[in-house]
Order: sequence, then C-alpha cells, then structure tokens
Amino acid sequence: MGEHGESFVHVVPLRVLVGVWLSLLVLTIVTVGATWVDLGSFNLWLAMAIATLKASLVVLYFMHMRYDHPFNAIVFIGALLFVMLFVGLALLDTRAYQPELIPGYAPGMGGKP
Amino acid sequence: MTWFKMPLFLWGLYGTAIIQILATPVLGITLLLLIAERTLGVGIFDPALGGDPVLFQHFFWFYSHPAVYIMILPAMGVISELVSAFSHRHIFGYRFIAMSSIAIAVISFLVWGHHMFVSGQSNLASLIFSVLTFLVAIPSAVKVFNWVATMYKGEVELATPMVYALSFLFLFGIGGLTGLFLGALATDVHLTDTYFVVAHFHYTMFGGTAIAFFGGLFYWWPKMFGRMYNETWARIGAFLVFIGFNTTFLAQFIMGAHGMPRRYYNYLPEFAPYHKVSTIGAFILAIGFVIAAGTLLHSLVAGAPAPANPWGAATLEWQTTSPPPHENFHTQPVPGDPYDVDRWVFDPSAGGYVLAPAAAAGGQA
Amino acid sequence: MHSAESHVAHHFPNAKSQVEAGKLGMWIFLATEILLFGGLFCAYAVYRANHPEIFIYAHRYLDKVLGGINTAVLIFSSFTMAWAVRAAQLSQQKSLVRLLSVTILCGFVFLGIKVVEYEHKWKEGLLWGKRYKPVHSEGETPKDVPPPKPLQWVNPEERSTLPPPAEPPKGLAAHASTSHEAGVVPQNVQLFFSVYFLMTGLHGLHVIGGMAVLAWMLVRARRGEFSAAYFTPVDLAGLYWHLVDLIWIYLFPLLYLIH
Repeated sequence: MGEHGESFVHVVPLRVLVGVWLSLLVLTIVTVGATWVDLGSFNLWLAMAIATLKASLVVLYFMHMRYDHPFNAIVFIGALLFVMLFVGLALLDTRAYQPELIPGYAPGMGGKP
Repeated sequence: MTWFKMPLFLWGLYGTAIIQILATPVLGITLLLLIAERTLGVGIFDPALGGDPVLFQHFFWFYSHPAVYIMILPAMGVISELVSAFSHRHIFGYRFIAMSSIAIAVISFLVWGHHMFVSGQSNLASLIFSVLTFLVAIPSAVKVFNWVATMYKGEVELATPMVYALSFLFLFGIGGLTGLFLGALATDVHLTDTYFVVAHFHYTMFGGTAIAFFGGLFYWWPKMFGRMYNETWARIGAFLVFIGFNTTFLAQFIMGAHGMPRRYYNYLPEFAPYHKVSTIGAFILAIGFVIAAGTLLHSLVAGAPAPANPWGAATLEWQTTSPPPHENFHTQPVPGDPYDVDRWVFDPSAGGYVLAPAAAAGGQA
Repeated sequence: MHSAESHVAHHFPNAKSQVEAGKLGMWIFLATEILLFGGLFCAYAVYRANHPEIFIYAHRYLDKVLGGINTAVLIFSSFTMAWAVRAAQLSQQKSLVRLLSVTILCGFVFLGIKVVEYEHKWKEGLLWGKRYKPVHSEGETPKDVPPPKPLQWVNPEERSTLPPPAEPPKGLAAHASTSHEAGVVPQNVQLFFSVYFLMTGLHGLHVIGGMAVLAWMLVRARRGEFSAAYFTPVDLAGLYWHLVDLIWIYLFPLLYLIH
C-alpha cells in the first residue's frame, strides 16, 4: 500500500474480478438462450431481471460500490428511482389514452382495426 | 459546520441542487431528440412518422416543472434568513423549514402532469397528477407558517430587506393559493391559457423569486460592497415595486377568470380597462425598480461605510468585515447556531451589531 | 515519484476526503448520465408498450450474433478496466499500461462491429424516421411474423365529442393507408429504427468519449503518474467506462432479444 496510509482504499482481489467477468459471460449466454424459450410476456421480465443481475455485479464489484461510501449508492439508486418514476408515469398515461385516439387525426398512434 | 448548523439559505440551495442534477439531464435528452428530429427526421415526437407529441410534453415538463422550484427554493432560503434577522428572533421550526426544502425538491418531480390537463393526457394521469399537485402545498405552507411564527412577538424592524420579505409573504401567498385553483381539474379546464395562469406564474416567480432576490440583494449589499444605502429611498423603491406589482398582475387574475386568453395581442373591448390598469401598474413597477437600482448605485459612490453586522444577523458572514477580506476570515470561525440572534447587541459606536459581552466572554458555545 | 501530500489540494484535510469527494462527484455525474439515458429508455418503453408489433417485427433485422459479440467485448473491456484500476492501486505500472491499452482496443472492436451493423442497415434502407425506405421486397419479409395485433378500438363518438374526420388531415395520413395493405408489415416500423439508432448512437458517442478519456489516462500512465498514492483519475475514468458497459447490458436484450 501507499506510504501515506492509503488504508481506506479497497483493492479488489483478482480472483473476484475474474469471477465477476465469467459470471457476466455466463449470464449473457443465458439471456440469449432464454429467447428460444417461449414464456410469453414473462420473457421481457426475465431478460430485464438478468440484465439487472449483470448490472448489479458490475456496480458492486467493478465499480467498487460494495466497498464504497454508502452515500454514493444513495446517489446511484436515487437516480434509478427517478428514471423509474419518469418511465412509470409516462407509461401509465400513454397506455391509458391509446384507446381514445382517433385514427386519421394521428395515424401512427391509434392503429386501425 | 454540520448539516443542522447550516443557514436555511444553504438548505434551499441544497434542494435546488438535487433538482438540477435529476431534472436537467432530461431536458438534455429532450433537446437532443428535438435536434435529431429537426436535422435527421427521426420522428420520435412527430405523429406523421408514428411519434407521439404528448410524449414530448412528458419529456418537457419532467424537467420544466421542477425547474420552477429551481427558481423558488433559493428565494425561500433567502426569506428564511431575512425573516429571522429582521424580527430579531430565532427562526421558528428550523428543521421543518430545512426538511420542507428537500420535500419540495422531491415532490416537484411528481406533479409535472398538471401542465398537461388539456393536452390529451389520460383522465387517469390527470387525476393522479392533480392529487399529487396539492401535496406541494404542504411543505410550502410549512415554510410560510414558520416564517409568520418567527415574526410573532419578535421586534420586527421594517428595514428594506424586510419590506421585500413581507412583500414576498403576501405575493407568494396569493401565488401559491391561486395555484390550487389551477391544480384542480375542473377549474383548470376553464383557466388554461388565460391571463389567470399568467398572473399566477408572475405572483410566484416574480412576486416570489424576483422580490426575494431584491430582498437578498439589499440584505447582503453592505456585506458585498461595504457601503450602506439610503434607507428612505430604498424603502420607497420597495414600496413602489409592491404597489406596481399588484396593480399589474391583480388585474390579470380578474380578466383571466373572465376569459381573456394569453398570447393574444388583440382583445374584446370589455377587457380594455383591465389591460389599462395592468399597463399603468407596469410603469409603477418600472419606476420602483429604477429607484431601487439608483439607490444601490448611489451607495457605491456616496454610501456610508458598512459595519461588520448592520442587521444583527447571526450567520457566519456577518462575523467578518464588510466587505470580507481575501479568504473571508483571518481566523477560522467556530460555527454555532446560525439563528442565535440574541447574542448580538446594537453598539452605537460601531454603527452596527456586536457580540454581547457575555456571549463574547463565554465563547461561541 | 510523487508523494501523496503533493496530490492533496489545500482545501482537503487529507487524502481520504479528497478521494471520496472525487468519487462522489463522479457518481453524481453518472447519475445525470442515467437520467439522460432514462429519457431514451422512457421513449422505448412507451413505444414498445403501445406498439409491441413494431418491435417484434423489426428486431429481426438486427444481428443477434454481432450484438452478442459486442456484449462480450464490452464485458471483457469492463473486466480489463477493473483490473487496470487494481493495477494502479498496487503501483503495477507496466500492467496498468497494458490493461488500459486492451480496454481501448476493445472500444475499437466494439465500434468496428457497430459500423458493420450500421452499414447493413444503411444498405437495406432500414433507417430512422423519414429515412426508412426498406429495399427488401414484400416476399422477403419473414414468414413467421404474426399479423399485427389489432389495438383496442373504441368508437370515437363514445369517448369524445369530436366528430371523426370525413377526410383525414393532409400530410398525416400517408402512412396509414400504404403500410396497412401489406398485411404482414405493421405500421410505423420506422419507429423501431429511430429508437434503435438514437439509443445505440448516443451509447456509441459515450463509448468514443470514454475511449478519449482512457487514451488520456494511457498517456499519463506511460509517464508513470499513477501509483498507490495517486490513482483517482484511473478510478474515475473506470467508473465512467463501467457505466457505458452498464447501459449496453440493458440495450442488448431490449433491442436485439425481443421475443
């Protein structure tokens, strides 16, 4: 370690880094493989769950969040929550007004029977 | 310095910073999409290409509603300083005012759809956003009541910054309460795109932010430039601003409720008297601002030297000379309660406030 | 060699608080990046939820294999980046230079594959918005595409007091009539390609930005500026690179692996 007491720095062991990398590769193969299985609308949620698992691995180990000051985690998770809020409310609204659209006024949006 | 030794102005700025970090990137992507729309024709928001124009409004207002809180939160912080300093009383409900800034910052992200009640937004979303909009009234009211409670039984000194602070309370009160009319779904349909909206916006943004800005300017002017301004003329300016502002925009509430649409250069003859009153008010307002600006500029050349603490405020900046030296303090100050104004007593020989002998002897506990 | 003291600016009491302030600043910047991309994810979610047939139809024109290879490349580059930070922390200057070079190389590979993909789309006319002019004939459209699911249709008179137009407004209805007749091809396929090019394009710009930052780190690493006493720039550049990887982890299944 450094000569000036850098004991606050956490060095991630190489074993952990390699392990995370291999897990990410495996999960990528799993997510590609999962598209051959028909699970209906659950496919999307499975893919998102795997992506979130991969993202968590990257954030926790590659980005050191597990060893970091917890306030950084609050910043990161806070940003994610606000994205979800934005997407959630926009989605809720656009879903709700689709049936009210009048084809011809906005042809791309109403869809014709 | 710890979180709860910070002046409330800083808490206001902290809330502002949260909004800026979380909202501004969405404006960034909105602008990028618009640029792509105009230059490449991606059609994300263009119905001719299958895009959804209401989605654009979601993008726009997700930034632009929190943006008005970017403007008002620092103003509320300034008012917290002024009310305590000129009532010569400890601020009432420090933690509530601090936390209400954060609450406003967070809730400001939940209400953007109230700009879209007549945009084609679904009834469901309108309902949700309307309910959430009323939530903003809670932290705003927490602040207003705490300011009023601070003044209660205080020695209210009507110096120029306090005149602006009282104007703020009155004008922001009207601005905030008329916001409830606009947040209610049924009345909003009637009032959308009328002068009522214009008046509401100006009562909050002008009566709120701009008035607080002037209050803060007159409050910190001696600290910034080391000169006292002419109190009489400064008060006349503040008074004219208050009169002119109300003349200009109160008339707009009435004609808006009667159906005068905004963004029209022409109107029915029945609206003419209101427009005339409004125009006269605008001139009074302009005269008030010219007097205010003239007073400040005059002080730069002919003002008396400012004492370290002309108002008796207890935040750290008043413990150094006016204007502050390079790096602000010769010795590092010990931060204490920023609103412990009782430790400061008026000293006629200094022309301002100094630490009370007991407090000075006892150190800054 | 630099000593630790020379890296601590005078307004920080010690190296620890300086390092943590730098990291916090980087995380806040990453938060703004997440919100920036959040807008695009929002557009994606809204169009996919409301017009799933477009996404199911059009994603077949994306190359899953190339997308998968690119995912592996980015994941590998993230791994070498994390390793590079470790090397910097342990003052292993030679391996730091080597690992940074590999990371940048991965960036080039990723962009190269992206160029190949974009070129295919360009040749086939599968472009965004108004540039969408597919060259393939109708006979070549995939046979196993299910016909578009008709969306719920409500008589406007029940929902709205607006009368239905006798004739649709001019300039808006062109697509409604032409693309409908094909039967298999859903309306407004161009929306998918708009979303695809916007998301991968903005991500690609971030990859280029990250590579520029890493190139700068490489130059400084070759000068021997980083050691156990001072590695914050490598660390923060790494955080940015990982975020770029993170976004791709979501883009890949959302764009390429639609079921």
